[in-house]
Amino acid sequence: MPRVKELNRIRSSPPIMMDSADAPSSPASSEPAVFSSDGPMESAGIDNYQAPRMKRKFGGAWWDKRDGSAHHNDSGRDATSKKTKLKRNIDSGVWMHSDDTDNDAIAYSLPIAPNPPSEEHDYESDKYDSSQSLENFVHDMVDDGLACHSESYDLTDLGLVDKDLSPLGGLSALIKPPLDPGSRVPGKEYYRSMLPQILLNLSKNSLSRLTPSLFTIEHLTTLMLPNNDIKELPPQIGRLTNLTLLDVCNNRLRSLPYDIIKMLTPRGKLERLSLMGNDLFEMASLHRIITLDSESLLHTTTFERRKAYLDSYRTGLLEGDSAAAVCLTKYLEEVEKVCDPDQVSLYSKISIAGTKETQTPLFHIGNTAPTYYDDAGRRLRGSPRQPTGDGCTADVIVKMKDGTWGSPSSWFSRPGMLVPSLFSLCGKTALEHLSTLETRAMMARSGVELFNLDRFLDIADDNHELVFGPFRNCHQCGKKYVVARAEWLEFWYRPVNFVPFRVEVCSWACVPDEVALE
Amino acid sequence: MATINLTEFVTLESSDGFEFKVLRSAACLAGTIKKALDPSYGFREESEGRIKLATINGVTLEKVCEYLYYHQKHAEAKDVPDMEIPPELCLELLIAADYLDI
Ligand SMILES: [Zn+2]
Repeated sequence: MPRVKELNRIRSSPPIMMDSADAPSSPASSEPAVFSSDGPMESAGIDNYQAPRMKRKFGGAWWDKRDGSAHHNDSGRDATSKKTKLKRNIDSGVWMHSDDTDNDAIAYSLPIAPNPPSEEHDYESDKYDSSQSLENFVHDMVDDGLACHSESYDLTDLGLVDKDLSPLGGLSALIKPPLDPGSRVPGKEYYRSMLPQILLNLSKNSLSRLTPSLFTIEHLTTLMLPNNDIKELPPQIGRLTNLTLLDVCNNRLRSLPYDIIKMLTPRGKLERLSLMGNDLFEMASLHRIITLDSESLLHTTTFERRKAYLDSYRTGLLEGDSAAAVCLTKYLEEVEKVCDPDQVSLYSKISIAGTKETQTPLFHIGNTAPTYYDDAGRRLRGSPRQPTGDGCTADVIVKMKDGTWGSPSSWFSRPGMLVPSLFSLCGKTALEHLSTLETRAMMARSGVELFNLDRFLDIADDNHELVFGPFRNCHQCGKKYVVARAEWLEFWYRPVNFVPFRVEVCSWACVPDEVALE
Repeated sequence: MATINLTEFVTLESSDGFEFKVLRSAACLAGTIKKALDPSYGFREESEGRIKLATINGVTLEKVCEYLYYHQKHAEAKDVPDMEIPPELCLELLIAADYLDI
């Protein structure tokens, strides 16, 4: 049975999934409606019309099913068997390659194409080719999911691109299924929130910038995006305030948008943020921290002893590279501010003073010197650059009780002019009413060529790529802007990473003093 | 008295002949006007305290003057509210702003 082996290989890494078995869809008193996505085609025949059929549950437990042949001919009549669950996941559609010819792993990575309602299908020749049908597939899946109140959606390894995701916005209409107590007196469990907890697994696709509708799913609590092609997360991710798990492992991220800071615990609900396998900016000489940790810091029991150890480490360092000691000192200072130091170990959860709960901590460590830009997005002469290239590390300034570490030899002071320019005010107004294309056309008609305006409109177009519109929102004051006037990286410690967050602001005035002043 | 008035205000003239008397300090927030009024350049504008802006019409120039005062008023402020720009004027104002360097 070579195909069983193949199937297991492909599906060997099941994502974290909610158990859909407890969803109370089967004991409903009336027959579930027949949807194209109900059981497999053969299960909906005349002979078994009365048999209960389960709705398709996305993210069912097919991966703990090791019998790869189960999907061949299982009728799906036995609603309680694992086979049925398997069926529900892969039903309703047309297999790329028909069952009898199929020996090909591709068939499982692109399992389902939607079944147009009124067409006779030649299963052999129905080659999956247009990208349109993937979007339709997502659309149908959302419709079915809404109908059966499914909270879990598995779209792993389908070759999805960004635009295929747009139907997912429909999930914002999802509510939990009402429970039917039947003739019994409703117990406590019948009085519960109708708010769903939506899980969306988009692992192993070809996503790079996602899609606006994704960020309208208010009750999305788990978003899995590992193994895609994401270089930058859209700031709109900040709208997903109910997110408790965000997995962006194995993408191409260099930093995270600052909007994620307020989502993270203890400020927000985001408890688990998985970042492995990205090329995140690192603080210069960070490897020394890791060396230091593993040596003995973790085994030093109390805060006082850790501090003593650290001091001895610092005095042992000559004026050369002391990044490691500095970051740890800063870390311990921050810890001291908010929690019981005796409870803290660098790699563990901490208990915030005064509470019993343990939460993953989040501490500001330092930031890069800010870069300042003019109205048209040109870096001001003499203003430092942010790190860019591959493998580039960031020179971080860390401010501590007893002084500042890492200050550049020459400090570029914040420019004095803090009033928005007439040029930027007008540019903003123009784009509130016109597209960049229309603005360009009108300028062309007027016969005037403005080099700065061209740059301004180019940046608005770039914004479109990331935020799906010409405007971004200032990380400091929240106002919308087209051209960022300053940016810098902030490093926050979140066990066990020093995470770089990119901050961009609408005006020079929006650079806070802690960042702007030496 | 008259001499003080002369130096304190400058006159900006639009392409269609409208004149606006503006505080010199406010007018000089525009790089182009400041240059034109700089004695070291020796332009005629300097002696007369009067600048003809042949590419800017009266309606636009009025808004430009409003901006110059807005800028001066908020120069020291930390949190500056955006000035309202009438949409129908924004392209003309863009051209003026680019020319005047404001
Ligand atoms: Zn701002």
